[in-house]
Amino acid sequence: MTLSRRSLLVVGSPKVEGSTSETLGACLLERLAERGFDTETISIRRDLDSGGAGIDTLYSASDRADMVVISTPVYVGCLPAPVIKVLELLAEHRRGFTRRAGQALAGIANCGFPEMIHTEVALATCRLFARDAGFTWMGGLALAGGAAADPRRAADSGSMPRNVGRALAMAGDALARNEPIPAEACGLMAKPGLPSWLYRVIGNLSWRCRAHREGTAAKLRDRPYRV
Amino acid sequence: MNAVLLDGTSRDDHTAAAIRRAVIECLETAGVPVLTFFLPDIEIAPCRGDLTCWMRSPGICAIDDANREISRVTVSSDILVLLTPVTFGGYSSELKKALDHLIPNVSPFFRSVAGETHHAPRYHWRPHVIAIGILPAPDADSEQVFQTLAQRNGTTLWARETTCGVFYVTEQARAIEARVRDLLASLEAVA
Repeated sequence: MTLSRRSLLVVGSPKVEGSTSETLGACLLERLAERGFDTETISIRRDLDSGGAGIDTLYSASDRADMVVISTPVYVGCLPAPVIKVLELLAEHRRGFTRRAGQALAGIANCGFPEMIHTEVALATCRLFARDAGFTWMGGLALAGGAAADPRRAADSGSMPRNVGRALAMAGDALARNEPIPAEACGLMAKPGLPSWLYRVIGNLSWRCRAHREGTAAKLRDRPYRV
Repeated sequence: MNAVLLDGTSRDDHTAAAIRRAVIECLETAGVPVLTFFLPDIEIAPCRGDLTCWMRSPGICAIDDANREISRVTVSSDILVLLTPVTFGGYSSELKKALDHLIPNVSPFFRSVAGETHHAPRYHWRPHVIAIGILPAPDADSEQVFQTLAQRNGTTLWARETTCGVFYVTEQARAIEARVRDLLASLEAVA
């Protein structure tokens, strides 16, 4: 009897539901499920609290997973604090026992700026966590462009941006074969949706429109902590 | 001139204690008062990523806790010192919980900086940022990521200058003092 392999998705977004991080991670997990993996998802925001409740569930899930995927937004150039906290706890937990051979880890990082360079430190942090916690690092995918590249909007309409969907499928297939995420998948995911200058123009207009809806357009440049 | 020290280390970290002492002594001897936040003792809720600090209460986080005070004093600082164990190449969760909340101090509006997109400054705030990391032993990979992160955060925060140093737990107090003095030597106030 062949035992199913297990995969665990850890979602790092502070949103309770419907985040880009969860959408991307779920898509990758779906591919792994199609390739015979049992899958499990833990959202740091939804399933763990600041007091530590739920952390034992995360420990157990990570202990039995053959493939762990961390899917996270990028905040201030790297992982958000709650994601770092979880990695710190997991690394400490894994120091305490003999690690099971063959456990692997992959990362997905998404950020609001249009250039991929903004995701590099976040994925490097995931890689170093894998090294320190005894996982084989299988590589990372990065999605830049924030709202412009938001796969949720496409997911709502039933189709993910083609390059993103293909990248995740390619990555899932490689991981299922126990191979690192191929460079081709990373390149597909990194395909810019808009040139940076146009992203900035549209983005700045979008902030103004949103502020008008909120009634705060005249306050956008406020300096409440004026010295 | 004044300094803010955001300390994301732990109470039992003797190397951190030596570095902290050396930083404070060096700056205060140069006439720069230092306001220290020992972050493990401070409750700060995680950033919710809800953009309230840009869209609904521009410049102020929706969460009313110590994050607001840290944000307020930081934006008035001339020197911002970040002290942390190098954690998988980055900051500890304790330091990062405060840094995530510095986003209200920049504007939502995008601007190009050396070909990259960043958020425009909200204030006329151009600090010297000094990032100090601590490792158990030399680790070129982690150190390179840490230095990259520090420089990139300097750009995000519109720093006048960003300096980065990595210390090891094996270093003795005297060596730490000397290295801290070297690290701070580039600052106008200390030179």
